[in-house]
Amino acid sequence: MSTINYLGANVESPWQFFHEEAMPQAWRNSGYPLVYWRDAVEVLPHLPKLASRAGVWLKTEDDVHEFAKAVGDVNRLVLIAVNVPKFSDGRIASIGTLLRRRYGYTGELRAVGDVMADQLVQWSRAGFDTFTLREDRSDETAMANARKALTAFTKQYQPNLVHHNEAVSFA
Amino acid sequence: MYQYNPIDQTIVDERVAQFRDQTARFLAGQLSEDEFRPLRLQNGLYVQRQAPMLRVAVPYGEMSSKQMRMFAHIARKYDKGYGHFTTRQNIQYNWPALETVPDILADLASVQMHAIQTSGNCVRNVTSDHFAGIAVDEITDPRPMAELIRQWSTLQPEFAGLPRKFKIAVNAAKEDRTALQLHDLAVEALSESTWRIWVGGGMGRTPILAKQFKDVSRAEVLGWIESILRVYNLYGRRDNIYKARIKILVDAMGIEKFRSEVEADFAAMYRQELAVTDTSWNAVKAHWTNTPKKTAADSGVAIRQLRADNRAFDRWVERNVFTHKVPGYAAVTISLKAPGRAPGDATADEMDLIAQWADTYSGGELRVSHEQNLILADVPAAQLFALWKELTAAGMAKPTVGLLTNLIACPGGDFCALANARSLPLAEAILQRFDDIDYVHDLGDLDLNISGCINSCGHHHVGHIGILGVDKNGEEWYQILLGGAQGSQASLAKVIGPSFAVEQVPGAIARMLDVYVAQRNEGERFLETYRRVGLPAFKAAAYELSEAK
Repeated sequence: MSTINYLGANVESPWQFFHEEAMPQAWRNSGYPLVYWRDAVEVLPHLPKLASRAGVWLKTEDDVHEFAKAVGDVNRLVLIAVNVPKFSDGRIASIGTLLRRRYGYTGELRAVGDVMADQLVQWSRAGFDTFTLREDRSDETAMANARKALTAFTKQYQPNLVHHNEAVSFA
Repeated sequence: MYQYNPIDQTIVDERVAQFRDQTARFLAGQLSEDEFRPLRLQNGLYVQRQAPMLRVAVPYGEMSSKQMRMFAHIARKYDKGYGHFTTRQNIQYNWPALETVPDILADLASVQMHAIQTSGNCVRNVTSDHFAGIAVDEITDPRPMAELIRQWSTLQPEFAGLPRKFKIAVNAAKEDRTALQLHDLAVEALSESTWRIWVGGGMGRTPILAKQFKDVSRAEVLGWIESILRVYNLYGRRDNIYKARIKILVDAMGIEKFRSEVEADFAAMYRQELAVTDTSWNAVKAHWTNTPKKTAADSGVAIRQLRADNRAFDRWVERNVFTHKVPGYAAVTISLKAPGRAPGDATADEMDLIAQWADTYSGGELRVSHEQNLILADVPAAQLFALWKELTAAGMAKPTVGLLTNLIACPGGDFCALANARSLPLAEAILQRFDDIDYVHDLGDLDLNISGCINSCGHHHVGHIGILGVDKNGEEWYQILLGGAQGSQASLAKVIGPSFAVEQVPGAIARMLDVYVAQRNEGERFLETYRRVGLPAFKAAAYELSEAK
């Protein structure tokens, strides 16, 4: 699997993805565990102390408000990933927007799951920094398409969330 | 009308390039049908029964003669020489080849047009009053608000994957000419500075009238729309396509709970960048400068004389000419309803002719109405007679606006892959049966709406008489509904009973109209008689003789 950032650059990812309830607590011995938040819910506020580099992931069907409340200060997390089961599931964009704007998350926000080139531009604009592309959409051609897709637009109507080239005001 | 600035143009041009690349990747096998589907849909492209169908946006129904000529060009070059104007003020082409669609979009972009978000699970092309800017009962001009919503919703990154489609209407007159309560969300002007938001209306399988959400300041309208969409995006159902519209969510939560969820989001998420400031409001308003300001030369006497001398012209003025708020001008409906014409269809040659009329008579601009007609909004009254003669010669002067034979019909099973039954042969049969203009005028105001399936593109739920195509064991049958209404007194029609075979429908309608004629009080319209007399009398007439037929 390949991960790129919002600029289209390849990102080395040391993160080890732990499936939901795959191996309870197994992530504790990993250097860079990326763990489903409910599997770590009792220790979420202390996560950085338990594993020096720990990230959590949530599902698009999870209530982002409940998640944020369980974490407390989201900025204690260095990585939040949202696992999208289907590329057409637009909840991921509202989850990203809320984490950035309502909860003030400034760390890395990553899309994982059914991630392909043609959704990257909107998810990037909804606050995501990095994207782990779907396994069968990670070959050379697919990566080139993904990089191209991210640069499809040089102008936009809506105000920016983060890391965008140019804000445009209405009218 | 609104003119693109370099930002608008860049976005539309870049969208064309993006879709050209996506189409090429699909044709090269790099994108599956499943992956390509939402991409093509959000560029207006359906795969239909005969061929792809391309729906092109006419934002809030307003366009220039130059754009109409481009529609004619596209009809000739890429289609079979015609197009279909829709109940959502758009135009559809039924025969484009997939590989030519990027070229069509590039041609559209050259005249400040596009097909962005005309289908798919996103915010669709915003609709408004086809008499915007000229109606006597207007509170304020709805077009600046419609344009701001167009900009805000176009390629909005957070709402590109909603549970289902999302339709917004803007009304700013006392009379509602947008069917606002049948929209996912509607914005209605109470004054230029205060707007009422409605939410949760819609037709389809479960017709529901929208509920009042909140009265808000103009500055905060976009902020409230954004919060409503965020709550819908997160909590709308995604497990069942028939329960995925916002109306189902609002109904399930209850309007009070829904409102408090949205208020909580708004309190935390509203940001100043979304405010419609006086500066941005005035900047957008400044695009509508060419509505006539001065009274035209008084032609009242001459018009009265012409009407007295010419019965056909008199009828046309009575029905197809709408009062303009500037004395000496009028708005004219070009009727796209007549026997032999699918409702809303126009050929390329007719489009060129209509563009010419727009240039000659109405400042080079025109509108699409949600009744599938076209409108010249600023015609000097002194030129009405000359225009009427041209319209008559071209077969577009049927004096039937508001009458039975102004019927609305979706393209139906002849074209649409979703349809259960054909709409157009039935529309044709009704237009032929009721071609007696004296009778139709005597019947007075009567909306008849035909949909070929439950998706209700023909708005059968709000027809005084509605007809819905249904499938029974592979055969086409038609339900008849009565008592629907759009406008400020909106109501949903009721099914009268078992469905009819296609050849029984015109007779059943005729017998119900006999009931109306027999029972009506002086000056009472069909809908009012129906509401007073009740369904049983009409139902009995509809089913009488239907077996003998």
